[in-house]
Amino acid sequence: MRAAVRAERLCKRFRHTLPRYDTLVGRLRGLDRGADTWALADVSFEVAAGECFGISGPNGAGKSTLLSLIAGILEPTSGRVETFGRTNTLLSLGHGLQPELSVLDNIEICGILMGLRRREALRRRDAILDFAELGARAELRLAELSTGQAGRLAVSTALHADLDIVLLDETLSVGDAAFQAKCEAAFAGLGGQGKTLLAASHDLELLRRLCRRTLRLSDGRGEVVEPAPAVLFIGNSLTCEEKGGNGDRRVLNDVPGLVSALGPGGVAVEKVVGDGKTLQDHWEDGRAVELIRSRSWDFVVLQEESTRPLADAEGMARSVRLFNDEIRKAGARPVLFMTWAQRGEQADQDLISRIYRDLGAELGAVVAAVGSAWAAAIEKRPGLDLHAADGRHAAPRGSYLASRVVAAVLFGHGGKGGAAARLGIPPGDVRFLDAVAEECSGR
Amino acid sequence: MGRYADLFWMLTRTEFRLRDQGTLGGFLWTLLHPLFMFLILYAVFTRMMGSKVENYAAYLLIGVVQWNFFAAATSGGLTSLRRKAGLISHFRFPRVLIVLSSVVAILLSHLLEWLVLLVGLLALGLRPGAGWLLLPGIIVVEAALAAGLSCLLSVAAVHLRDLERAWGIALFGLFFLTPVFYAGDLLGAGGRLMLYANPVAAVIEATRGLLIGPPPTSLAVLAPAAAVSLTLLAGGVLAFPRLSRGIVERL
Repeated sequence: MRAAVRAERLCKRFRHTLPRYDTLVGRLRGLDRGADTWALADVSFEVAAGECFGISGPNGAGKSTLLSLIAGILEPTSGRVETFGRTNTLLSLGHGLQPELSVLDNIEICGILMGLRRREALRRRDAILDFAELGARAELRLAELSTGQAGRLAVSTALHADLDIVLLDETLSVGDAAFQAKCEAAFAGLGGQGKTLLAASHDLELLRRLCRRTLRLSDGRGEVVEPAPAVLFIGNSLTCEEKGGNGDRRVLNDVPGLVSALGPGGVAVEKVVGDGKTLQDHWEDGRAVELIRSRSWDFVVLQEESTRPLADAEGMARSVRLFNDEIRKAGARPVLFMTWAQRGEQADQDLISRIYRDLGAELGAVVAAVGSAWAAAIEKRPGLDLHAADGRHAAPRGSYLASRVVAAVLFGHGGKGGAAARLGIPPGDVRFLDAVAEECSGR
Repeated sequence: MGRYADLFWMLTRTEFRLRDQGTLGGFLWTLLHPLFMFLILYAVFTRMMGSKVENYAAYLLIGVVQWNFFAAATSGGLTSLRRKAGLISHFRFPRVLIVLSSVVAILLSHLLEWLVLLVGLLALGLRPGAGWLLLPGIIVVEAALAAGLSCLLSVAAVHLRDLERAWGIALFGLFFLTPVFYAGDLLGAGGRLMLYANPVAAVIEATRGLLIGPPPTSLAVLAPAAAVSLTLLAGGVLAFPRLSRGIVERL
């Protein structure tokens, strides 16, 4: 996980001055300077590249101060803040625009201040106007625009200025509902481009929609609030296999359950699975879509029936695209569960892997490369039984490896022990499978 | 570097346009001030100075235009950080660019004034000589002096809100301590000393020497002023990041 912003023991003190202190006369008379305020007192946190990170707190809690420190506009009194990527702008109301100049000129000014070359700023001007929906007012003086319209201009410019880290200070609340929705979609899309958003607001509802993690500031202290992630699995018996009927029900290959056990505490998982079901079956069935819309998921893991990439890659891509749109609309992130080749058919794996990776790249979706991990494990230890007796499904070691790869992709860390013990896998094999999973999830 | 060049040029243009509305009419307004000042001073002092100074009209015109630039550029530079508080508190970039662009925007009008001035001087019967070639150098010194001082004044004005008033009064006093409308040698030995202590006076005197004559003495006067001005500018720009620490909180 690459960090975009890292704050360590950040403190900022404001030395207030009474109105008359800041004058020659005041200094000569030796006026009292007034009290100090610690706007931030020992705040530490880290934001990953691609994350939408919220900052909440009442007025005067230090939200804007924190964003200004990150932008490099203010300097910390002690502690430090590091940024990785381009950022130099604090987007807020009363943004440093020139009310006496035209909307067009202001876009140019704003673009250059955000670090674009003049040529680039001029080239992107129409796109910025379009996004802000101010095309009809391009020639007007900025002062003629409403506060909301001016706010839209600044946000739109920021979205087009290639900033790696976008710092929003309560800017969105001025846009109307339609523009807010458009911005939220654009911000949600930033993550896919590896760009990071830090949004300060006291609109908790807005932050909840936009961000998973939120830094709650009060009296200069900060606490990162992180809701337990919710994951929905859509797939077939390679995701989870349920055997038997009412009295004698056994769950084999329970990837959702294992992922939940491997993840941070309290992960909520839900699954829609059915033997032999393709994603197209799920789409037509309707239950999966219903579930996607039913609550706010962090991730939806899509697993296609294992022979479909080989038999009908086009059909699979169609289904994945349909689901992708639905998942994005619901504000969740799609994860593609790359399946494994059947026993003895290792040659198929390259094609399967490529199809999943291409789809992942096309849609900006993460691929959990379970199939690649299986192939790597089988190559290193051919004797290790990942496949179940039928040569298609997963034996406990295979389930563990699959879950380990998915968990690493979802939560960015290896996970806790205990899950493997439940399956009765010896510690030596667990270490081996953990190593393979680490390698194949790109960590 | 290119990015900052774009930024600097953009700030300068904005500053220039905000002042003159970017129109010829706007420029004529800025021309009106020195012109008016010239006419009044000329009407009042020509009888007194006319016999003591060669071509008093040209002498006065040069003084007025150069003094006006110094006064306008330093006053504008002094308030520049405050005027651009919005930009400073929303964007990170080298803040010295704000001060420099404020001075350069006024320098642009000043260059136009020089064009008008040169036409005026020709009309007053001056003939261009080799000394005129040094004019760009003079303008560089003028600009360096104003920009260097502005670096210091702008930061000080953030911490001392009434400095703008104080500087206005200081300029008023300095105007009379600078031979704009009178001849420097009227003050005798003290006058000569003042020429070396007051770089504005030195620049104006040197310019008159080069354009009206005699040139040799003017270069001797200009050299120390040039040294002071360029040092002030280099020092101001280099020290600016340190000087301007903590100004965002005060804006």
